[in-house]
Amino acid sequence: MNRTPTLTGHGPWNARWGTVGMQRLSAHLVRAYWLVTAALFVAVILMLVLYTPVDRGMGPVQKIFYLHLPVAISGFLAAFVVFIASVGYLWSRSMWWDDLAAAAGKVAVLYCAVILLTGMFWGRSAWGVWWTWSPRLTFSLVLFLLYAVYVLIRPTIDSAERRAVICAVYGIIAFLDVPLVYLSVRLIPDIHPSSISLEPAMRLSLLAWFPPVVMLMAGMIGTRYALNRRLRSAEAGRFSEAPSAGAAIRVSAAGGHP
Amino acid sequence: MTGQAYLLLAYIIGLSLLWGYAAALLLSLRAARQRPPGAVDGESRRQSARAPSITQERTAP
Repeated sequence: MNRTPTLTGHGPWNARWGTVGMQRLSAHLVRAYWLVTAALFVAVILMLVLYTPVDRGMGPVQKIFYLHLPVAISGFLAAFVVFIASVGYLWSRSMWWDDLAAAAGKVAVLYCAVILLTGMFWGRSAWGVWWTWSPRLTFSLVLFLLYAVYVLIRPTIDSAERRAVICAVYGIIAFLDVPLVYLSVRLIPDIHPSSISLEPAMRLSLLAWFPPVVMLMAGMIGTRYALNRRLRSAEAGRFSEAPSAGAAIRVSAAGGHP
Repeated sequence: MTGQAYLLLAYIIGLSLLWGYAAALLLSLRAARQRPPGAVDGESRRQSARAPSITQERTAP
């Protein structure tokens, strides 16, 4: 029987892509990666409570900054992954680039949401308002909306090739907002601080928050990407085993990815 | 509300969102790995049952 390759370790997949031993090793490495990420989060939270000094001007609410900034940078990185994957798809027309872009797009939305939410708590305490239409806040909201639309339009396009092309072009254009978010505070007068001077202990705390937040972002993109690949492979396998379904349905099935 | 309460809320909401999504992804991947090959998951079934493709529209009588 000519079985279609899957990612489950059965059938010809092993011969084509690896061995069961390699799969087990990779599963162990993935587990270790998530355990290290979780442990780092516990460590930096303890550091925040026990070590990080309280800001004399703003008080304890200034500590939101240690989550807010790394999440913002990670969100930009996720948007950059969408950009690179979109360019990669248009260049090579390989579907795995599209799966990567789809995975990073969802993570970018999530991180943008967390940027906005943590920023709102900061703003309420520092400026007395939950939201103000300052350039950086506005461009950040636009960034969130751009990637939310990116995630929402993907399932509405049936043809896999059309969806990949449209989303790749959109992913490249959407990324143009990232430099605007970064530069707006330097080019336009803004209530949002462009830089904050930190004591050495505060700087160390800020640096300590970057690895776990970036690792979490990378882990999410990797996991979502693995799910996307699995879904695409399962769809392709199902329809190649049912030739009577016809080419028309095959096109539709290939389009059925988040 | 005090600054301490804002700080607590910001971290609880932020970290819950991040780790909640991460946990959901890991559980989905685990479920997908345990599913026998060829089995149809809910998402694939929904996606396949969607509107006909362009090719279908062209070939339909």
